[in-house]
Amino acid sequence: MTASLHDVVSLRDVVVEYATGSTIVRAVDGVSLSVQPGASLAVVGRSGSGKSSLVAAMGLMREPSSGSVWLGGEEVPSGSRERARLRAQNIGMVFQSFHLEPHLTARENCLMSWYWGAADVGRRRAVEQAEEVLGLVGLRSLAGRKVAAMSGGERQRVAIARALFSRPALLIADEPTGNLDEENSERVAQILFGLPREADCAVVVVTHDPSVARGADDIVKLSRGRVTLHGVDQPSDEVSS
Amino acid sequence: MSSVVRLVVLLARRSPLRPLSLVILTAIATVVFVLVSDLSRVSQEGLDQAIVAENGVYGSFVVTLDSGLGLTAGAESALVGQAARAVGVEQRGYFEDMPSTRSECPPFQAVGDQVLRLLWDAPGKPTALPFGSVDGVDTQWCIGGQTIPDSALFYPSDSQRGLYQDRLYLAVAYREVILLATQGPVRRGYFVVSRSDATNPDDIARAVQARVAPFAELMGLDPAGAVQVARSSRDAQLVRAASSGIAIVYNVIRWGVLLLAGIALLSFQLVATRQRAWFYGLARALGTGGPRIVLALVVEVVGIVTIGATVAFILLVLASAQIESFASQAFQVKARPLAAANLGTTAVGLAVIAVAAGLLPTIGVLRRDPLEVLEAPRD
Repeated sequence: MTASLHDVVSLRDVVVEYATGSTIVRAVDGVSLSVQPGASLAVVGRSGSGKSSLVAAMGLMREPSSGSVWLGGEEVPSGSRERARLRAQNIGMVFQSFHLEPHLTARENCLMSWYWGAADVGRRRAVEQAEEVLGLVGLRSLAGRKVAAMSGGERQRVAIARALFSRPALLIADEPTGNLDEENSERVAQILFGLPREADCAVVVVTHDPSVARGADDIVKLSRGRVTLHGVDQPSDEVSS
Repeated sequence: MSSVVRLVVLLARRSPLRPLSLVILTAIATVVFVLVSDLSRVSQEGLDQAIVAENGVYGSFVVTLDSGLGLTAGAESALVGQAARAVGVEQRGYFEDMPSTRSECPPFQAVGDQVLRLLWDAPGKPTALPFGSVDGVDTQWCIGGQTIPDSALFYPSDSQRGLYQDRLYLAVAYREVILLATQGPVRRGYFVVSRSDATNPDDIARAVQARVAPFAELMGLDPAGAVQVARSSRDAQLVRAASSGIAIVYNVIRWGVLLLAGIALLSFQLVATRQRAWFYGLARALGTGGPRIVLALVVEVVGIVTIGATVAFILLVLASAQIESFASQAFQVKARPLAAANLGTTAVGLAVIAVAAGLLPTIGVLRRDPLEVLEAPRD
């Protein structure tokens, strides 16, 4: 598969291996796929299928053992500093555990990139930007509320807003509904899959929930590190098995 | 860089219990360190002064040269000084013992012959002595028809005899009066001080003999016999060792307090960074480089230590008058807790703590895989 200049991110024959003691575990086994701008992709599979390792490679959090990752038509070089820079500029991440600072407000959590010096704007503009992204997830009115006083669904929406702060080309959400109830899961999924339209960014969602996966433009199923199904027109029982 | 500092300040404001506790800990440790440092200083100074008064300056020797060498005081002083430097001791002035005389005035006419001593820091520079202090003795020394007033005499009290010995000292202005009235050689002795128990007086003697040898040969004298070196201070080894031991104990206490505070601060920071591993993992996931994370941790600790030290300084300033008054009344010593030496040492100690407690936790933070900490369940 060749990397297209139009793809937000492309993986080419990516292999991700881990050493556990004296054993080498191959979590991702030669996967090639791409995500186009304004598209959404759901990555499904059972626990241990390699989903998180796949998106870790896609999100430049983990360097592949072999193969290549392309971002915006350019191959991502090896080296942690360059990868960190590309990650800061192009990729937003949402985690199952939210990872929000509970004593800070929603606005202040969204500003985390700015506080850490990853956003090259002044404070006033940064605050405006934070409130804009909170608006995208329907929480502008709660910008000044401390996260500790928010529900699980609201917290995950704040986490999504934080990931959107630097207007990334790609947002990756790893099991974003894992800690939410059904109603909040549905709402968060709606927001995530609406982002290509609302925020002009591609979205990749890792989930084991087929109801969440159904909202994506495309679905990839992993099993033992390999793609076993690809496409939305799959029987739901195949996707969920 | 300033946005990282803002973040540190914001987190401290929103979750103040931990930083506040550490500020209080630092302030208490600083106050204790300063007070123990000054207590150590006054105790040590007082003890050392008492030892010197009783026993003389540690490692003191007197070098006497045969007057038959025909050397002036300046020449002798120069030779002894050269010899002293060669063996690593310090020359500290000299004395002149005037020829023995008998006072013509009571009560000293009954005392018999006395030798009056003059003390010099260097040729032409008399030592400042508390003339007029004659330990209550009714003194008038009359010689050659002239009365020497007690304001020109100094007789050491009991507590001074360790340093000045049991002698009558005469002001330099009356030197010629004695010489005119008597016949006899002036005997000079040169003080050298090593401050060490290990100094061998024979080494000093040999060094001086080597330098007076040409003059001795000229005058037909044996160089070995022309030089005498005698110990003038009392050994008092046990007392001096006790004084050194007390100084060590004080140092252990004060640095121990600061070290414990540093260990407590470091422990707090290690626990905090471990509990908040996700926070730093998130920062790295957001693309933050190691130096900014190190900066955040160091700024936090430096801020805590600086504020704690400032609080301590304010407390000491407010209480310094009371501390000095208490020390003066209770122990008859002059306390100076805000002395520059105390504050300087404290600043150095706190700086070392701040750097260690700021930097050491960063090792763990930067070594952990950010993905692992973000995927791990939060406490």
